[in-house]
Amino acid sequence: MNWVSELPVLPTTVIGSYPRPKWLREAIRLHKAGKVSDEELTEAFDDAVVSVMRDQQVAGVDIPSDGEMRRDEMVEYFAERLGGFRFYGPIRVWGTAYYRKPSVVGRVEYLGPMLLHEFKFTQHVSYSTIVKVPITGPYTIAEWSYNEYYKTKRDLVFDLAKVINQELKTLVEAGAKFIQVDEPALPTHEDEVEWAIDAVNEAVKGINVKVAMHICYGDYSRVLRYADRLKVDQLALEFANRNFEPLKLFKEYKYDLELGFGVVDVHTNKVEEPQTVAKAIRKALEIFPPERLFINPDCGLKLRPRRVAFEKLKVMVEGTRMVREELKKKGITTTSLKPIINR
Amino acid sequence: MSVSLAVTGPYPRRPNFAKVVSRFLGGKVSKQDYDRAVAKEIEHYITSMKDYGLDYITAGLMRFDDPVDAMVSLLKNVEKNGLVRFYDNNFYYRVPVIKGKLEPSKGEDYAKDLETARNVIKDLKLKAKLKLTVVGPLSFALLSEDKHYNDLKALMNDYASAINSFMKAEKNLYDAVEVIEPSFFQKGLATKVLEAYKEVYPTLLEGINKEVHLVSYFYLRADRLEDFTSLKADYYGFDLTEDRKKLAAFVYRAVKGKGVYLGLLDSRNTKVEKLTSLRRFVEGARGVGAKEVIVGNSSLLDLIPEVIIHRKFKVASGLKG
Repeated sequence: MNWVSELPVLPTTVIGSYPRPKWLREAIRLHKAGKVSDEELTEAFDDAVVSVMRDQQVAGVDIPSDGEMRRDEMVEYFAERLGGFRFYGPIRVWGTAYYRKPSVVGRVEYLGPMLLHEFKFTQHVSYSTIVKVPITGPYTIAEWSYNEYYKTKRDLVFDLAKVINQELKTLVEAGAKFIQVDEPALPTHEDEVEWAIDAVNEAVKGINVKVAMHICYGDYSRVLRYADRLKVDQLALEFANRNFEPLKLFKEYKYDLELGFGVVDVHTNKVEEPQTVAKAIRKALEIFPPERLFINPDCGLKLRPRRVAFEKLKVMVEGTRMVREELKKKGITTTSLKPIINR
Repeated sequence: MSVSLAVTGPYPRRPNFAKVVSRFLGGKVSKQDYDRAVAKEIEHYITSMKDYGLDYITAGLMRFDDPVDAMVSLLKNVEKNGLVRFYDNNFYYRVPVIKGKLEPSKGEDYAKDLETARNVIKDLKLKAKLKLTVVGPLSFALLSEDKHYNDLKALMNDYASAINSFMKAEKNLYDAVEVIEPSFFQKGLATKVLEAYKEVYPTLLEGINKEVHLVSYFYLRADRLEDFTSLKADYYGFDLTEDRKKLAAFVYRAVKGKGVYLGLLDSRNTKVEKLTSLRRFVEGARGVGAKEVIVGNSSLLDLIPEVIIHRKFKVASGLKG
């Protein structure tokens, strides 16, 4: 495979989700009410992907995603497309926010590609030859579902790892070059982290393209203590929300994989300054060599107003470019997408 | 000895009611209309549970985002901050930031909701006792961000005293108190903290001549059971959903001669329990000489869909037959 050595150093990317345009939300509402056909909704999704792709292009993001326009929620989407799940109704996740938490009521089964159409369309309309494909990982799907069927959560997670692996193979065959396994739940239970990492490793087995794992809202040290077991190339993590404090952990645990460095906070509408982003990157460069550092927002941007999300991406890119100029003086200008782990 | 059936803690807000909450927070619904919607939601909850023969029910805490939020409404000098995971659940609460000495506020909204619940129980001619739900001082302290005390014991003590004031002021509105303490069995709790808690706990209940249910959620540790049951309560509640067989044996030993609340209806799984299994656990508790047995949900009912709550309580109502 040609590993595209032309990526600029400190490639900028996204975690995945982006705010759905207002008109898409309206189309979804009308579709639910039976006033918009399936075909019309598909067209609306496609148009939305083109729109968010354009936002990312204008902002200057090197590796875009489709903004997860077609996904209502990161676990629901997959549970709806796998065998063995059912839904009983919405549950509250905080305040007035709900999601449909699925229940596993039978053996988990792969029924067919879940992201293939999404990926192919994204690739087709992308301004970049590389797009990021986020997929929810086995542990998070299990942790954020009810288990009525499997004797243990571990059994469920490893069965999910198999189906995710099947999906990833399909995506790689179709040309995907950058996969991100989303595992925000992974650090939740300290005593499960070790085997949860093994499950993620199962999910990415044989996937010889760039693989990142995204985690947020957790104690990273629970994961870093097993860094030598990780079979992903990169951890893409939230930092800005924590004032970049966890960086020191990476030194402590002698982590030597890549880092997807979260430089803008997705929980606030306050848009950061490019200088703040640049300063944070310089701090990360004290620990990571430039070729091991990717730049991204803390997490998906979908909960921010679209204008804010766009501004945050712009600032992320501007801050990164400032540091790139400094690296250029040292002769460092490009990086590679080649996986650093043999899976 | 008969088995009692109880609901502990909050009951889920329905999505349509949540829309009213959002509109109220956005200033699009008046306080009066909002209060009316809350009352209607409480009425829906209690009415929907009426056929299960409940012996204890709560006011449902519909008005509040979570139990911690309900307590914040009873306190002065606390602000709400960012969302944080509620223990190890995919459920988030707003962290109370303690900015000054904790003092009681009037808690009019909570009192209003207790009164609504009381009236609904009366109108439906239910025999259920109404429980006032409060978060225990230990859990509240550990779930908060302290910017004032720098002394956990002092914080817990002032909190206990403030909540006690509300309990005393509104004593005519409820029949029993449930103190929920999910943090009690949490990993890594220092002995010093537990000792401080034991000293503070009586302040919470001082002068309250009501039945007390001390209920833990989520975790259970055999080595702390003795500490837990040394605190004054009429019933000791345990989440018996994980490793239940193993843990039940310890619980049974600890509750000999005491009242016990068995959290057997799993609030974190949609799998509906079997009546035979529930019976077995009740018999187990009886077998070791538990004074009285209550069966109910293991933790927040917010964590499962409403339809499942009803299936679970319907099965549990078979215990009374």
